[in-house]
Amino acid sequence: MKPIIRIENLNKQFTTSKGMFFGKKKTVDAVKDFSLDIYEGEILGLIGESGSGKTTLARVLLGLSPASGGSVDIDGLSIVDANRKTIKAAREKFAVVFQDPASNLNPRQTVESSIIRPLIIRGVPADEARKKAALALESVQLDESYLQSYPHQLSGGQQQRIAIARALVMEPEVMILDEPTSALDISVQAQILNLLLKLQEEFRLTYLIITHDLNVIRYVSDRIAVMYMGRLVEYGGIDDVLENPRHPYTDILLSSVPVSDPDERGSEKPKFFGEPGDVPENPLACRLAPRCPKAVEECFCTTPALKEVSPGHFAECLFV
Amino acid sequence: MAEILKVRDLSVDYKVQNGYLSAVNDVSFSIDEGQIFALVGESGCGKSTIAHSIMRLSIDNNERISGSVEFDGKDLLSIKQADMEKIRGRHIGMIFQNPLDSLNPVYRSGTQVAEALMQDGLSRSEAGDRVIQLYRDVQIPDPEERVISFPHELSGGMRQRVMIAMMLARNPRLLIADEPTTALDVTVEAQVLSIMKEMCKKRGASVLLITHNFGIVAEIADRIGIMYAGEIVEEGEVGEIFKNPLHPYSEALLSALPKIKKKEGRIKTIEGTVPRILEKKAECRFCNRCPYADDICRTAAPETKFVSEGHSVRCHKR
Repeated sequence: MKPIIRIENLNKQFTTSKGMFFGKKKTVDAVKDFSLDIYEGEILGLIGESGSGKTTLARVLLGLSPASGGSVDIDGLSIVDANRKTIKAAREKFAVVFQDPASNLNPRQTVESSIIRPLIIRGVPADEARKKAALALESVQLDESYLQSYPHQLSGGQQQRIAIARALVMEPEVMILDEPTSALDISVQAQILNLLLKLQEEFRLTYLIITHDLNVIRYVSDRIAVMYMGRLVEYGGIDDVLENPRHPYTDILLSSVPVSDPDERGSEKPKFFGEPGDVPENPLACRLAPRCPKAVEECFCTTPALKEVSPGHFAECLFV
Repeated sequence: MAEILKVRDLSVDYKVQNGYLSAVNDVSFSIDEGQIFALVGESGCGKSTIAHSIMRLSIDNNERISGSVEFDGKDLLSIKQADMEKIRGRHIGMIFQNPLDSLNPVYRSGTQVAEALMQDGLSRSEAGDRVIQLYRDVQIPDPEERVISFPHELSGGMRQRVMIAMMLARNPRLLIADEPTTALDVTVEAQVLSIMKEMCKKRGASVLLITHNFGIVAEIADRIGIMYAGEIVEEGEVGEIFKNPLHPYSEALLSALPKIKKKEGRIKTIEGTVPRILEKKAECRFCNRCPYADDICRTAAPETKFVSEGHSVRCHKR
């Protein structure tokens, strides 16, 4: 398999300042030394808590916000410090589905004009665009009659299907799904997940699924990447990582998810304190150190290296 | 054990453009002292409407409420507004989903918790000391610093802990928690849930937990009521319902949870959508989506029946 996206040592920093003019500048590493390959036709699940940099990473991939350093290679096109033409060409390989379907459809436009708008912008004649829209709607299992409805007339699940149809109509190679089901109910979530899996097989798509729901990741992904405060702390095959987590953060994440089985209740859980914002002051320290149950003094002054623990399964911890 | 809350035949209809929307229909359940009772269901099924009816939080005259809500021997639906005010917060506490909506942004967090305590006649300084103790109980780090923080200076998990501290400050006998951890990250969610459970156990408070997350129910609840389109379709012990769901909706919902792997096959889905019940018809509310539905389901509304001690189901077929 060949990688369709190669990310190497990607960095993205945001600068914040306190006060309006003379405040002290502070930089926040939203994504820090991030390297990962995404292969053609795979479903990669990206997991992490809020503020871990998942969405920032997606924005950098889409060229929506410039990287601060490192390189991103999309199917042969390097988009870091690239000109607008290259970024545009790279962007055409992507389609995105966001979390809240209601906010990503224009309330004043019919479903049809929402779907054909990107096609028209790309220069597809209106007739052909309409045909494509009808086909796209069919592939998300919605009746053609929905083309003339407005978003408020649709349920959350239907709106999300429309958002997926609009993404599909551009014939992307990679779909970035940012929390595609977290605004939906359980029964609708199941429908959308099955639909996404069906489409992936049908069109041989590559998915990057961003979510904080481990159950969803486990169900759909081939590989999983765990992010903590901008760093990739562990990645590998879904079974390898979930059944044999090597990074303490993955371990904590897994045991924090409430298990839907009352018999498992009361099982021993690792104690974990603090919240995702607690980052050590020393930039070299492991970012988990202040919250990690296994942390020793060394963790606060050395950057752990990413080590391969089994074929294709990497973890970044001193104790691995 | 003594029942602390007894809801009988509660029905709530909201006035809408062309008639009345039946949001809650004929709901009965009771919570024992020290018990955690979970109401589970998808959005729009009436979970929050039940909570609001118990607290009498309906603000206008847009709804018709019938039935009874008995708390500690008193029917909350018929007592005077002034008496209800004495019960709210003092005897029944409530935690909402988004703590930022519940906290006043221009007051320090500790002041808001102290305000609740001063209602009970504590002096300002006594209340201040108690607040620090409460912050310590809900495991907020550096409580002395945190009491003078404004809500926006606290993280999401911290805010929800402040809410828990505020609710528990007056030792309520019943705590209504409406999606208390939905806005939180998983690691924080686990911390908040365990604090909530521990605190309630220590003080002997009962909890009415409203959620759509089966994981949370499995983790902390004693009993569960599964709601669909305004009705409790099945109710029982948590272990029993998870192992042996009887209502077709509970069965479908439990098997729609993604916990298996892609290779092991696809999860089951429930086709169709929840109906909007504008006028009550003589039919089962689930019949348009139910795989077992036949003539009787479409012509008569099922009654709640007990299949075993403490396990009831609302279905013709069981």
